[in-house]
Amino acid sequence: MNKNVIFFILSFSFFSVAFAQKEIDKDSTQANYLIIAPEFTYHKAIDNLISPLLYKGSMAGIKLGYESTNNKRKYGFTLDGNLGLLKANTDYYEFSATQVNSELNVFYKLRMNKNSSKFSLYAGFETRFRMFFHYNPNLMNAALNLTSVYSNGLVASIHKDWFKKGKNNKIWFIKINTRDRYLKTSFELGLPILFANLRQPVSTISDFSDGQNLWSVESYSHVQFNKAFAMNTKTSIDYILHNGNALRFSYLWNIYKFEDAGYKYQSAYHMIVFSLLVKLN
Amino acid sequence: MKTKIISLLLFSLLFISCEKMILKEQPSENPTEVFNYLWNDLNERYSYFEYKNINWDNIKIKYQSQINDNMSENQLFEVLFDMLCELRDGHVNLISPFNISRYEFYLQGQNNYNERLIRENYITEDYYVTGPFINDKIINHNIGYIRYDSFMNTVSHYSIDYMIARFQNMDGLILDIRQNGGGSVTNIFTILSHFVDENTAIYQSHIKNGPEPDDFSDFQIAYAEPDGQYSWTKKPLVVLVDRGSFSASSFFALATKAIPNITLIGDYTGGGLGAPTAAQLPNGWTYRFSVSQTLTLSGYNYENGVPPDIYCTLTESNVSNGKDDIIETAIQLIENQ
Repeated sequence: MNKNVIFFILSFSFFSVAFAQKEIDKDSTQANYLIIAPEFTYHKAIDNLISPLLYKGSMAGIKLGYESTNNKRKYGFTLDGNLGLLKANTDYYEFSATQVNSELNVFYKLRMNKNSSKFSLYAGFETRFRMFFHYNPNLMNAALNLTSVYSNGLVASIHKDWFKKGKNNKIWFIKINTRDRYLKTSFELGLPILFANLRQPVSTISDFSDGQNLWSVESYSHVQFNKAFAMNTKTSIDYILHNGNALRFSYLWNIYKFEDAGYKYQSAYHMIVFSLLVKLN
Repeated sequence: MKTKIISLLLFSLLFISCEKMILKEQPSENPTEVFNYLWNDLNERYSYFEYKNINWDNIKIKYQSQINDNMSENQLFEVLFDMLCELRDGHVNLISPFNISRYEFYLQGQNNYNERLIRENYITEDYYVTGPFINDKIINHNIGYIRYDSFMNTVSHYSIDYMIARFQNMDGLILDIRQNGGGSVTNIFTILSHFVDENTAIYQSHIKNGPEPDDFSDFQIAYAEPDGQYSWTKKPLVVLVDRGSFSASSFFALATKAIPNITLIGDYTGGGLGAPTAAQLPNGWTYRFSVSQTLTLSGYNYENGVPPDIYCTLTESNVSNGKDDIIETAIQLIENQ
């Protein structure tokens, strides 16, 4: 069968399921979601092992994940991959580098205020494993760089639901029905407290005089938590569809700074994510 | 509801405002800053100050007086070029869009390779080009000749297998890496895997991993492991080197010291046993420098040149008679074994 026809059928089936109309069940307490999202990132970083220049630029990627939520707890994971071109400028020159970021985030939060109906407050733990791959041809033997950051920390989020009942209006003889609107807003703050920064003391495949490669674990330096600082926030607005699926707009901010004798690394990124949450239950 | 949602978004932006407080700005690109950045980074990471008996503090005093913030890019480059040449290291370069600084290691010795001499007197016009190797039977001798001119050219097991099969009835092989300026170290392991019959330790390396002079990692031993379809371990292999054999060629020459049936003939190599890394200066220029040391298994450091087992150089009289002294010595050695 023609590839375009197959693509059309799959797309149609997917969106039919995702946006199929039913009534909103705002009292449902248990929701398990599959998360599929394109995302757009503005990333900036200084990796002092290779350059004091600030490399910054836009990246695009995709997020996949799973989230389970109810009145007692939230847990889930997301997996991101982003690709982009970062640039650095001096008075006379411009340099560019290819950047690939990936991140695995696993979280588990418990509800702190079970009796409150105004808002819900969750707190718990999250683990992040981030990999920053940086290819900068200007740097010859140090052109290929891989920095991995593993962090474990606390996460807290505050959630507020907004429900607007639909109305039936009649202007002259025309009936205008507005449907129920159900929004969920949230703000999340993550503070990693335990870190491992995995980075080679030298920075290229051909540097390894013993024939080992970039992935050789022996060549990495391991660093403990007191040398790093990180913070991440996420602001989200979920628009709950009538079949329980949801559209989510999120803005994420993430900062990471590591400083040790002879090696300093700092990065921050701002990410816009448009997610489709497909309800699985 | 709209107002509250907008307030939430604005609240989230509050955290972002502390980003500038946490992240450092890019440093200034004035000549003093560039000079200090380069001097400091090399001071912490360059691996051969002690071995080469270089007093880096004195060098700072010598060149700092020539730096001022009104100097031109060219003037700054010239001062930094001269400062880096004090390291006497072919792996040290400063790269700007208008010039590249370098230390010409191959000028430490005479030229010991003459391509035309070999083409006209030692191999036929029908020589083979197998991957990155020129190879042929040496005229009037039962010896195979293999020329490998750059470790930048990737070596496949197929190429080595093909040549070993081609020369399997020969009495010995000559591998000529004179004037081979180096490239990827990975190729060393591919080549040597056909010249060992068991896992063989070939050299040891350690990396400068901290700012103090003695901050080096533990030594890591490198091994050549047998691989490929054909091997050459029973008959002699002679490797030809000279001052133009640098970096990966020196690593290769060093490795031959640990393999019994390989003999190194020619001049000292150009050295370059410190693996290079690279970095960028605040004004965007890049620089390259050695960050490791590779030694023999018994602990000798040959950064200034790996010595041959048999020292030999070209002589004018023999060259004018169509003779390559180094190849002649290799032929003699193979035929006497």
